[in-house]
Amino acid sequence: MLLLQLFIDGMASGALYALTAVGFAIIYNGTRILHMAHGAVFTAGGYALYIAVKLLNLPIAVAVVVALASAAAFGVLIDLLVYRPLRARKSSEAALFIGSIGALTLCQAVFALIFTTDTLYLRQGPLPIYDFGEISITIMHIIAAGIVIVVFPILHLFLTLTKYGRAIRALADNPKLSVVRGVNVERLYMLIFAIGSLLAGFAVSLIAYDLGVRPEMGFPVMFVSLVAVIVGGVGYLPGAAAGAFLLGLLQNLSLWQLSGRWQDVVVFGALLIFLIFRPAGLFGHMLSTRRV
Amino acid sequence: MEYFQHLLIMVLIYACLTVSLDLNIGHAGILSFGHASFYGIGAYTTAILTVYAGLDWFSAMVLAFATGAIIAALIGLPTLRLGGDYFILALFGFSLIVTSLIINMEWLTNGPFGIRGVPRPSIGPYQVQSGYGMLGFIAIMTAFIFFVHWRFASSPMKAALHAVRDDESVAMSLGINVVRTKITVFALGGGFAALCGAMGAFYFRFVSADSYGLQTIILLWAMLFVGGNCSLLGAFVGPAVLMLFPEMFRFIGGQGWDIGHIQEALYGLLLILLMMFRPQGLVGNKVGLRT
Repeated sequence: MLLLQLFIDGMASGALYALTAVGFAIIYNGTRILHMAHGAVFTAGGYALYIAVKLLNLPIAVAVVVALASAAAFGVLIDLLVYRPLRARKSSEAALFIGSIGALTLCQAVFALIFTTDTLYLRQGPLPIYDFGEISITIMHIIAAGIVIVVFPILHLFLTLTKYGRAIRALADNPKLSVVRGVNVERLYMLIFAIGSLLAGFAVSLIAYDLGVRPEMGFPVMFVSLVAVIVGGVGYLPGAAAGAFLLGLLQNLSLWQLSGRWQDVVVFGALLIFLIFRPAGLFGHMLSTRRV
Repeated sequence: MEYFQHLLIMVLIYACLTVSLDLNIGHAGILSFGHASFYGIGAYTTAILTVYAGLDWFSAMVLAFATGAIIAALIGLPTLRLGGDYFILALFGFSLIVTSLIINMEWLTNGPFGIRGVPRPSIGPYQVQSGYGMLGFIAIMTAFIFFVHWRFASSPMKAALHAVRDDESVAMSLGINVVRTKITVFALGGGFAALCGAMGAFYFRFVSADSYGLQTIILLWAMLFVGGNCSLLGAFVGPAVLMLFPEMFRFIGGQGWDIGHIQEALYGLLLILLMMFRPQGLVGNKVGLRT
């Protein structure tokens, strides 16, 4: 029974990782930027939710919309203020990565200066829990599952059926050819950052409401998501989601035998094993990745 | 005076770390996002060997260098074949594992409490004390590390390294064993970072896991790119600017300023602006890694 409970918990955290990971993967596939500041975007969404709920006293549904919009806007802002000037001077990938690290450090520090390093809570008291025998499911588990079931099919339809969705996939597949075919890359980048950040916004709304907001909350989630992208296979979005669920399960199921303090070792051990033995990831054979 | 001695010692230790990172990033193009771990491994090796095993300082320091180099070679062996982004991630994963192991292996590392009471070095009957003695010791070590780096950077190996950094395929076609070259230089970088760890352990007489995490990694990268990669002068300028710049806040800042976070925000801003307006660093030249 404990295993089943851990499995359910694992699927729930996997769902949250999947949202962040697919968001990261859309950005990474399209722009080839190792977007470490995705963690800052995540945190920004959390603080937006806090401001909307606690300071503006908005109803939770409106507050979540505010948080989603803020996350998307924050992601686009980072692209405009940091990555676009670097692209304009034809910076190398190393420079973009350093710029991204700079943006992450700057944002985390500014959040800490504005909101202090304390955890800010959005709710009091326990959440509704549904007991089935020895298994208990919280409302957060159900919402996480619901978001994933609704959001991913919509994303899939957007990417396959609409003009802009197809442009995003074309850009990820072959940037030079997309430019030749008349894709406005800079404008498309804004859309890519908006969508990727929006997905992180969904995840952070749940986590912030459940566990509160801290300045450095984004980094570990972003990093596990990044690992999920690698484990799933770069370039293939369902792979990123699968990798995220795998890591969520691994983190929680490892609690069966190991104490929680070994979770870092489990997750990053999995990363190292994948990188050494199967750098293309779980679904790497589905496409030829350009840079392994 | 003691305060300035402390600042100077810190600048020198970080200059050594920067130069060891430069060996990887600047000369070989190996974006080592786990360099702080080798620093930590060196510090812990020194502390464990001197405090628990009762070894003398010199053997401990040599063994710290060896441990850092061997672990770097072992971790580099599988990961250095990976492409750029994958390598960055692998190394950061490695550094998180190292931090986690240090905290969790209490029987060896005393867990989150760290190890206290690392002895000061002694030469014959002369015991190095704090203050000028320690400054002298660190200065001699710095001179040694910079000398080795300078010799290395003027050896034929440098041409091979730069070829590997600039274009692996071309380097391969010229008969350079790319992976072996990278592993050698990565092991050297790891060894020197571990040596810096030993210097730090002798100075602070205390090691603890939280000094070798993400913040230190970002600080080291900032120091390297502020000074400019592939430049011995830059390896001094970067740490000097980043260590001394925050000290200004002690004079202009008021009470209740959150200096730590203001400092971090400035580091972040500085990294972004540098990449935009002066990617070669303050005193760097254009032979280094192209950013």
